[in-house]
Amino acid sequence: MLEARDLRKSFGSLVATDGVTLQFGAEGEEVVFIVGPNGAGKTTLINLLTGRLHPDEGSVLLDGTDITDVPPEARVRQGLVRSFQVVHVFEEMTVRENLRTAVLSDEGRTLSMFSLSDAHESVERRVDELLSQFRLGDLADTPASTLPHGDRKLLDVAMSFGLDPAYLLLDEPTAGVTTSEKGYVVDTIVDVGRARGVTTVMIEHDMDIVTEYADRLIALHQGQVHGEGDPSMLRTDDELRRLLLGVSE
Amino acid sequence: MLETVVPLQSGFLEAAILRTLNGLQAGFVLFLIASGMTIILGILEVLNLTHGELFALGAYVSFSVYGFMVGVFAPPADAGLVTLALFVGYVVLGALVSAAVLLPVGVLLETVFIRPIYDRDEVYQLVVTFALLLVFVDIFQFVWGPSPVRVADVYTSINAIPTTELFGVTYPTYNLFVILLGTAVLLGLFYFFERTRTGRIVRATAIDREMATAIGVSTDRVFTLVFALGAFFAGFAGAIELPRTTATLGMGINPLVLSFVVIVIGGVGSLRGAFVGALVVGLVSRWLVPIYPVSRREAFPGIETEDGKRHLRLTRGLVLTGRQVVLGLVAALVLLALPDLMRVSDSLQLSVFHQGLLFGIAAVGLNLLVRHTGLVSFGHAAFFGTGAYTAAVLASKAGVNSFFVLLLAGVVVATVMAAVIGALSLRHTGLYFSLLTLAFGMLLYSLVKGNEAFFNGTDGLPVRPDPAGRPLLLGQAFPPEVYNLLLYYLTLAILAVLLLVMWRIVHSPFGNALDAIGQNRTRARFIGLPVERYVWLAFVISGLYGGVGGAVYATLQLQIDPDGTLFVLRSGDILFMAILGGYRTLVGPLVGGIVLVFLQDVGQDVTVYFEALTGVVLLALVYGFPRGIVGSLQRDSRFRAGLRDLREDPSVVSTWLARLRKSVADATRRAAENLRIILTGIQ
Repeated sequence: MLEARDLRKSFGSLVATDGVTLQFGAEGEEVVFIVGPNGAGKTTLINLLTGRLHPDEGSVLLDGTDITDVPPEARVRQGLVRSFQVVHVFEEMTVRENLRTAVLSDEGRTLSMFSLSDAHESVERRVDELLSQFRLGDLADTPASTLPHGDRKLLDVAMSFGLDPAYLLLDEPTAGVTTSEKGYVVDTIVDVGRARGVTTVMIEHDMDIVTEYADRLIALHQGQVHGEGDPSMLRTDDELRRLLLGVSE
Repeated sequence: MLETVVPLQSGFLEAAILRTLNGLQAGFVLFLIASGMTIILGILEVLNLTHGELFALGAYVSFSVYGFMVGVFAPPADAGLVTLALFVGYVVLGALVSAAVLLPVGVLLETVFIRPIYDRDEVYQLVVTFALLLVFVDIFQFVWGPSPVRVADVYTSINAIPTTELFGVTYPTYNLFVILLGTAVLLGLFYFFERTRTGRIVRATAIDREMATAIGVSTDRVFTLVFALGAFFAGFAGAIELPRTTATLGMGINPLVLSFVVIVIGGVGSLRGAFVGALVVGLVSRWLVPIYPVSRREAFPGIETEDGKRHLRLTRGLVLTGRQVVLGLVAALVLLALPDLMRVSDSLQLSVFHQGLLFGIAAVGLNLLVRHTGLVSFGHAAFFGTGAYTAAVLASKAGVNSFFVLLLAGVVVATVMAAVIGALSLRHTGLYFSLLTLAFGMLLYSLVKGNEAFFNGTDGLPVRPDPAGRPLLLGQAFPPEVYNLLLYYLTLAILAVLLLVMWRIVHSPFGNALDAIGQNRTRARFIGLPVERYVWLAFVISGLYGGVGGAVYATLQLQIDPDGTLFVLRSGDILFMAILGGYRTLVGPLVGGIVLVFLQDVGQDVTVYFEALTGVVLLALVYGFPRGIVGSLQRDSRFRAGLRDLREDPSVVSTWLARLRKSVADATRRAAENLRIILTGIQ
C-alpha cells in the first residue's frame, strides 16, 4: 500500500498541497484517477509521492515503511515508478534500446562494464514482451526522437512497466495525444496494469475516460482532497461537476 | 542473480579462443599417441601402424573400466564440486587402469609379433602391423559391438560436469582438465627420459644401439619396455579422450595419420619434436576445420555476409565492414611501421606522433564523459599532469627506475585524483561543471608551478632515476633510440588494450546507462539509475586514461614541466582532440591527438603564429567536418554527397560559397550579439 499522510507543500505563499492523506492499493491493485481543476495540486502530489519534491510536512509510506527521505531512484527500485506529463524518453536511443535501458536498470545490471548490453537473455525476453504488449514491435528499431507523439507516450509508459512497478503514477498519460488515440493509450495502460497486478494512478482531464476505466476517483481542489469514491461521483457530486466542468446547475 | 551472458553471436575473438583451446586439447592427446610412435620408430626402427588401434583399445577398455567403477561406487549426479572432484578421480584412476591393461598388450605385441621380424625387410613390419590393425578392429567389434560407445551410457552424471567461463568463452571444464593432464604427463615423460636411469638407457640405445649393447644394455628388454610404454600412453590417451567423444571402430585411423604428420614435423625419435609437432597439428587442425556444424557462409570464424556485404565479427557485437577492416589493418600497419616511415623525412619525428598518441589516450578517456554523459570537463590535463608528475617525483626523488612501477603509480594517483575532483565537481552539471573542473585544474597547476622546493616550479622535474639514466624497461637499461622505440611499441600495446576496454565499456549496460544519463538525466533517475554515482565512475575511468597518457608521456619526455602537462591549454587540447577526431567515435580522439600535436609541432617551424594557425585549422575542421575527422568520414553522407555533386556539376561551388558567406555572416552577428550581452548584460 502506498500512503500519503498529511502531506503539505508550499511554494512561497502558494500552498500546493495542503494536508493530503490518501491510500493507494489498500485492497489489492486498483486503477485510480486523480482529477481536479488546474492548480489543484495534482502534479505536486505525484512529485511528493515519487520523491521529486520533498514535503514540508507529512510523510510518504510504502508498504508501511516511511520513504519520505528516500531518493527517487531508490523508490523506483522499491516498485514506485512514475512518468511525466511531458514525454521523457532517451531521444537518441531506439525504442528497443529505451526499453532495454529500463529493464537493465530493473534487473540491477547497469554496473556491468564488460558484458554487452544486448547480450542479457532475460532482459531481451522482457523487452520483447513489452514490445508486443504495447504493440511497438514494428517500431522497435526506430529512434525515439522520430516517433509519432502517441507512440512516444506509449514508449514512456512501456519503460515504466519495464521497471516492474507495484505502483505506477502517470501524470496525464494522454496529454497531447489526439482524441482518437486517447482511448487506445489508456486502454493499453489499464490492460497491462491489470495483467501485471500494478496499482495505476493517473492524472486525467477527460471525464469519459475516467468514467470508463476508473476503479476509484480522487478529486483535488486547492491542494486538498475534495472527495474520493467511485466514478459515479462525477454525476452525483454537483460541487465537483462545477469545479471540473464549470457547470453550475 | 547469476550473470547470464549469452553468446548471441560468436565473433572472431571468441572463435579464436575456442579454436585455440580445442587445438591445445587435441594437441595434447595427439602428443600422447605420437610420442610413443616416434620413440618406437626411433629406437625399434619399426613404423607401428597398430599404434592408432592401441589408442582405440585404450578408449574401449576405459569404457568397461568406467562402467565397472560406477558399478562399485555410483557418484552423485549433481553439478557440485564433489561431483567434479569425483569425476576427475574417476577419469585419472580409470585412465591409469585402462592404460595399465595396455602394458601387457604392448609386451605381447612386441615379443610375439614384432621381435621375429626386426631383421627382415621393412615392408614386413608394415604388413604385420597393418594386419594387427585389422585384427584389433574386429576384436573391438566382437567385444564392444559395432555401435559407438560413450561414457554417458555407463556413467550418466558425466553430463552434470559444468562448463568454465574463460576469456568470455564458455568452455567444457573437462577439456581444460585434459590440457592440464597432458601437461602433467609431458613433464613426467621428460623427467623419465632426462633424469631416470632407465630413461637414459633408452636414450642411449636410441643414439647408438651397438654401443649400448657393448656396455651391457639388454636391447631386447629396452625394446619391450619402449613398446609397452608407447602402448601405455596411447591407451591413456584413448581413455581420457573417451569421456568427451565416443569410441568407434574406425577411431584409430585419424590419430595414426596425424602421428605421421607429427613425426615428419618433429623428427624421428624426438620427444620435444613430438610435442611441438602435436601442438602444431592440433592447433592447425582446429583452426582450419570448423568444429561445430556451421552454415557455409560462416565457415571462417567471424566472417559473415549481411546485405550482400562481408563483415568481420571481431568479437560479440563488434562487427566491422570490409572497409573498416582494411582501414583498421592499414592503420595498425602504419602505426607499427611508423618508426621506419619517420626516417623518410627529417621534419617528421616519431616523438611527435608518440606524444599525439599519449594525449590521444587521455582524449579517449575524456570522450567517455563527453560523449556519453554529456558533461564537458575542461580540466582533464589535471589527470594527465598528475600521472606525469607522479612518475617524475618517484623517479627523481625516490629513485624508482622501473617503467612499469612508474606507470602503475602514475595511473593509481591520477585515478585517486579523479575520484576526489570528480566527487567535488559533479555536484553541478553543465557550464558550472566545466568551470569547476577548470578551477581544479588551475589550482593543481598553480600549486605545482608555485612550489620551487618540491616540484621545482616552472622548470619542472626530470623523470630520471639518476642524472644521466632513463627508466628501465623489464629491468633493462637501453640506449636512447632503442628506449624510445620500445616505449613506442609499448604504447601501441597499451593503446590496443585501452581501446578494447573502452569499446567494451561503451557497449556494456554501464555505457548504456551513461548514454541514458546524458540524454535525459531526469528520466534516468526515474528509471532507478543512481545518476551521480555513475557519472562519478565515468569521471574516474576517464581520469585513469589520462593518468596512463601522462605517466607514459613523462617517461618518454624524461623532463616535464607544469606548462606542458597541467596547464589549462593542455586541458583544452585534450578536449579539442576529442571533438576534433569526432567525439562520437572510439578512435576519433586518437586521430585528433595526432593531428593536433602534429599541427602544433609543424606549425612552430612554419610560422611564429603557430597557435593561430592551429586555431584556424581547428575552426576549419569543426565547420567542415561537424562530426570530427573520423566521424565525418564514417557517417557524414553529406560529405560524400557533396563530393558527388562537385564531380557532376563544378558550378555547385558557387552555391556553397554563397551558403558559407551567409553562415559566416550569421555566425559573426551571433558572436557580436553574445559579446554585447557579455559586456553590457541582457537588456
